[in-house]
Order: sequence, then structure tokens, then C-alpha cells
Amino acid sequence: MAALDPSVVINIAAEYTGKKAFTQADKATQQLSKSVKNLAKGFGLIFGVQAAKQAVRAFAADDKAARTLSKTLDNLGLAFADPATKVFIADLERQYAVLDDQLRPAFQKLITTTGDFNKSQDLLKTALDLSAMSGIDVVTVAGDLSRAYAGNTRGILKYGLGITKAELATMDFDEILTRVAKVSSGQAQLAADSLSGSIAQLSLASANAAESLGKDLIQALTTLGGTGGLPKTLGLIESVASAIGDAIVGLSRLIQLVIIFGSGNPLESIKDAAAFRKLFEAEDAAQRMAEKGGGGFSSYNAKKAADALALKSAKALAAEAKKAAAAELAKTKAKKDQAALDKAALALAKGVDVFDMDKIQLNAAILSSTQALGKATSQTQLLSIANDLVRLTIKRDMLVLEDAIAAKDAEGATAAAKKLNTDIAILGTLSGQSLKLANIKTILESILPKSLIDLANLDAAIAKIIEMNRLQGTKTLVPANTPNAVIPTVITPTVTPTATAATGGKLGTITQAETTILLQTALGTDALFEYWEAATAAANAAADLLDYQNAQNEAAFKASSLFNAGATVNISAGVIASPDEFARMVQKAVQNANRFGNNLDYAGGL
Amino acid sequence: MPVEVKGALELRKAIKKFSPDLAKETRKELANLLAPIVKNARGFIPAEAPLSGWGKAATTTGRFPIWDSKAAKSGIGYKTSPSRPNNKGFRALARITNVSAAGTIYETAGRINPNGREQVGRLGSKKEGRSSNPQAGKQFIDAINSDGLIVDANNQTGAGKRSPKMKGRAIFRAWANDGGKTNAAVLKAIENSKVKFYDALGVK
Repeated sequence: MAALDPSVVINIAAEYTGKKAFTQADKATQQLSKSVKNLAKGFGLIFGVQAAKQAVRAFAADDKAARTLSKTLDNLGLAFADPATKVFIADLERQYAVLDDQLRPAFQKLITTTGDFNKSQDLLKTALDLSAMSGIDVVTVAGDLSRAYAGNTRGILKYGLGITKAELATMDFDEILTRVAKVSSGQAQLAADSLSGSIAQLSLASANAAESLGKDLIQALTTLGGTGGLPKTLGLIESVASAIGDAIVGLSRLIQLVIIFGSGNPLESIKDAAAFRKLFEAEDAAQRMAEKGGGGFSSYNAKKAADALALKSAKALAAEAKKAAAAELAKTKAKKDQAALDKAALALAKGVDVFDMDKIQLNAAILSSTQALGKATSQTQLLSIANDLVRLTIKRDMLVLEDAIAAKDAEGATAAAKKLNTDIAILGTLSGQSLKLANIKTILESILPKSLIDLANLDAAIAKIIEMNRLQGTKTLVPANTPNAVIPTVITPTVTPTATAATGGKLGTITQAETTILLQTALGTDALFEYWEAATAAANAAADLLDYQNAQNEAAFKASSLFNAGATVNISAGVIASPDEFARMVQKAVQNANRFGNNLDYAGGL
Repeated sequence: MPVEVKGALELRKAIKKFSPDLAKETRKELANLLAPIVKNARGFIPAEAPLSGWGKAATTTGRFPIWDSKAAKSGIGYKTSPSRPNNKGFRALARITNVSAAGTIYETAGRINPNGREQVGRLGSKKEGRSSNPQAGKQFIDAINSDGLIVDANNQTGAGKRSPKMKGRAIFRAWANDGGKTNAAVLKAIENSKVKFYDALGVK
């Protein structure tokens, strides 16, 4: 954070609080007189209950520290040294004007670390010197020395002994102590001999006096409490102190009012006094409020506030409940709407199945392309339309494939995929422009549906018929109306098929296909054609013979007496049904025809 | 020169001690009043360095701050806690501050010497420039002026010397544009807090 530059600040609503220099001077004065005040406090112990309390507390703290140190020594197995320690602490206190309140914790730290009474004594003296030199209290110094004794020398750096961190890391504890002694030796004694030391000695004496007085006061006040003992006595002291405190506050306010009225302008003084009165009333009210534990300003106000709070909470709860109900309602409506939408979507899906726009458009496009194909005037147009047509075909294949996949029809999907691949290959060929137009035509023919009624087909059929007639005209047949004609009984082909071992010597029983295969393999294609021509001629001759026999039979019949007598021939077909039964059958047939309809009439049409 | 008030600090101490909620509310109210000024002031900080080379990292070991628009903008803020007394013994109840080094330079460059300090070379004193270019200061200020001119936010009326410290390009410009409305609103907020405090304590 950058420092605040006072020249780049906009101050809003400033208040004069006195010049800084005055404040500094005041602070300095306060600091200078602090020790004197403490001294005065010490000497003035006997003049107030507060001071008495301080004395008691001082004694209690001192007593506790002494007991703690004794216990520590006992725990360390140095209980024998307890009296000597007390004497040592008391001597140090007198010699260096350092309170035993500090010496005991410092010594405790050292003895705990070293476990050696004599060593701890020496270290405490060193700590006192270092403390006097650095201005750091002896407890902290003793703590740092303890840690250094245990190997942690980091704390020593702050005393400015002229040792670098690296040097300190390489030094052992004795070397450090030597260095400390060299730098700070005699500092404690020097400090004690100075004016400050003299004041400290006075403070020390007063503190010890306080402790002594405290000890006596405890004794006296315990007696004063009677059966209640010390707690009752302390309560009494608290009450007395509180009363004295109130009196002091009242006195200070009175003095403040006197100052206000003595300031000059009476009107201003009255206004200021009123304002001041408001302020201290507010303070008193707030103090009372704080003492009551932060409740209301009065029981009525507290009740009113509590009622308002309860009402507010109830309103908030009601609003929450209303909101939750509305949310539930909205949720139900949303579910209902969703159900209706789902239903509509289902109907729409059905409609989509029936009215598949894609398929309709695709068919229309294919039809359009087909028509355009007929109108194409150039090869480029033909190619372009062919491309479009193939693409449309591919799209149709894709739809078929999608449908097959959706229907989970594996066979259909395989077939559709095969067709799709073929069409894609065709499109690739067309797009590559590497196919001849003739091939394109072939492709188109494969795509386009075959038309049965087509001029080319008709032409081809007519040509076939003419060819057949021509073939018939070359045959040597006996005229049908010639009674004496020689009817050939056997038609011998030019090349007679030979029975082979493969046929088992049964030429007459093998099938036509077998014969074809045998002939192809044995005689070759030309012989086969010759054979078939002979076979066709034989068949035609047989047909002519049959016609001839029919004609002969008809002529014989007409010449017979049966034909000329005009006899009636009755054919008995047997009994079909009784007349009634037959009538019912006819009636039922008519009824059924009327009821269900047939291929000529619709139902109900009769 | 800010408006001088009396007893406001004691009032705020008392509010903080006896009605912490009201103290919090007062601070929030002051913050809401000061935030728009800060926002406007940040808007006056240019997005690019006013001088093309100012935003580049120094190649030498000089100590002149490098321009950083983001830092300059975020360096502008407000405080609703009373300040420490200045050398004349005044404590401000609320402040608008510009604390980033580059932002401060942009704010104040040229407000004492519009044509730059005299440049006397390396042996110059603190009040003199040490550039070998005699026009260095002027050129610097002219370049900054092309982004924004110094605005005098001093609203003092009547006789007496005007402090040059109420001039600048960002916070002072925003303060001048505000025309004293925020100042009045802050004072009113403090007055309102007093009324609320007395009401809370039931003092008539």
C-alpha cells in the first residue's frame, strides 16, 4: 500500500483537535512523568481502596510467581536450591533494581532449560546486562538465551551483537555468551547506578512495600470478612470502589460545567451546558443498557421492541408461506402444461410419420429432375441434372437407412447401406467427370424405372414378331386343307444329339437345361443353335399335325349321321340342390352381395 | 479547505461505543455518498500512458514510477474513518484519496509550476529539476495536459489565499464537478447520525 500523500487528499468535514506539536509535547511530558507517577502511586497506596486492591493483587502475583518457581525447582530435583534461589533473586532485585516479578520468570526459563542452578544464575546475570543494554525486558532476553542454549540462536540476532547470521550459525553457545559478555558486560550495574536506576529502585521499593502491604491487607481483610472470608471482603471492596468511582465521575462533570459557565457568554454557556448534560445522560443510559446486558432502554421500550420484532417475524413467516404456496401452485401448473405439451408432441410425431415432409419433397425433387432430364439440350445440362438426381437418390437412400436404423431392421439397414454406398460411388464418378456420356446414360437407365409401354419396347416387340413370321414363312409345312398331305411322323434335326456317358445314355429323359449345357460343352454354340432351330421346326410341325387332325375329326363328325340327324344330346349333371334349398342359396348370395359388396357393386348398392 | 465541524469526532466515538449498529450504518451511508465521486475520478484516469514511454518498464535503475492505468485507478478510493491530525491539528471525518505513485503524479503534475520546474542538471536541488533537457518539465506537463487539465476544486469564497492543494486532474476534478453536493450530503449524514443516536438513547 502506497503511503498517503497529504497533498492528494480531499478532506471532508475536518475537526480541529489541537496541533500535532502540542500533542507530541504532551506525550513526551507524559512519558517523562510516567515513572514518577508510578512512584507516587506506590507511595499513595495507603490512601485509597483502589490502591489497597492493587497491593493485594501485587502480593498475589508475587506470591504466585514465587510458588511457581519453587515448584519448578522441586520438579527438577533442585528443591534444595529453593532458599538459595530466593536469596539470589532478592539480591539481584536490590542490586540491579529489577523487580522480582521479572526475575523469577526469567530464572525459571533458564533453570528449566539448563537444569543447572549455578549455570542459570550466571545466565540470569548475563541476561540482565543484555536487557539493560538493549532495552528489552529481562524475561524476553532470558527466553532468547534459553533457546540459544538449546541450539536455536535466531533470537540473538536482534540484540545487535555485531554477529552475522552466518557467523551465529557456526558459533556454539559458549562463544555466543563470550560475545554477549564482551558487548554488554556491566550494563546492568551501570543502569542501576544511573538516575533512571535510582527511580527504578524507588519504584522497586514501593512495589515491595505494596506487596508487603498487600500481604498484611489480605490477612486483615480475611479477618474482616468474618465467616464469609476473603470473597465477602473483596465484594465489599468492589462496592466501595464503585461508589468512589461514581463520585469521581460526578465531580468531573461538575468541574466541566463550572468550566463551561466560566467561559464567558452566558447564553452560549447555557446551550453548551445543555448539550453536555445530554451527552452525559446518554452515556449513563448507555452504561445502564450495557450493564443490563444490551436489552432495551426501558422495560416498556424493550417490550415494544420485542413485540415489533415478533410481529415482523410473523409477517415474514406468513410471506414465506404464501410464497411457497404460490411456488407449489406454479409447479403444478407447469407439470400440467408439460403433460399437455407432451401429448401434443406425441400427436405431432404421429402426424410427422404420416406426413413426412422430407420424403414428399424428395420425391417431388426426383420427379422434377427426371422431367428436366428429358428437356436437357446439352451434355453439360445432362451431366448437371444427373448429378442432382444422384444426390437426391442418395438423400432418399439416407432416409431409408435412417428409417431402417430407427426400426432396428438389420437386414433393411444393410441393404440400404449397400444401396447408399453404390449411389455415393456413382456420384463420385459423376463428380469426377471421368465417365463417358454413354456410361451416364447407362447409369440413368439403372436409376430410372423401366417403362413397360415405351415406343422402343414396342418397336422391339414388332421386330420380334416380324422375325417370327419370317421364320414361319421359310418352313415346309403341309397345308392344313390338304387331305392327302404327308404328315411327317418324325422330325429329324440336322445334327442329332448324341447320348454320352455323362447322361447315362438317356438323352430323351434329361431336361432342357441339362441338354443345353451338354450341347454347349460337347458341340459348341453353333451346333446348339442349329439344334434349337431343328427342334423349333419339329414343334411347329407337330402343332400343324394337331391342327390337321382336328380338322379331319370335325369333317368326319359333320359327315356322320349323328350330325345330320339333329339328335338332341342330354347331359345329366346330377341333382345340384332341392328347389327350396337352391332358392335360399340364391337369396343368401344376393343378401351378401348387398351387405358386403363385391368387385362390381359396392355394399348396399343392390 | 474542508468545512470545520465541532464535536463530530466525539460523537462518532460515542456512537461506536454505545450503538455499534448505528456506527456501521453511518459508515455505510458515507461510503454510498463518496463512491460516486471515486467512480468519476477513476474515469478521469487515462487508459493509456499519457506519455508513450511512461508505461514501459525502465531500462535503467531510475526511481520514477512506471505508469499503470489499473493501479492508478485502483489507487483512488475513500475512507470513512477519521484521519490522524495534520500539522495544523485538524482531523478529517472522511476523505477521498489518490495513493498510487503514478496516479499522484498524473493528478498533481503542474499544479504548482504549470510550466515545469527549472531544470538545472544533475546538481539540482529538490525544488529544481535535474534533467539536462531544460524543457523536460514543460514537455511532461504538456503531454499530461493533453489527457486532462488541472481543475481547481477550491470552493472557498471571500478574501484569503487559496490553497493550491485543491487542484488536480482526477479526484479534484471529480470533486469540482460534484459542486459541493456530496460535501453537504456528508455533513447532513453526520448530523442525522447524531439525531439517530440521541433517539436511540432516548435523549430529548
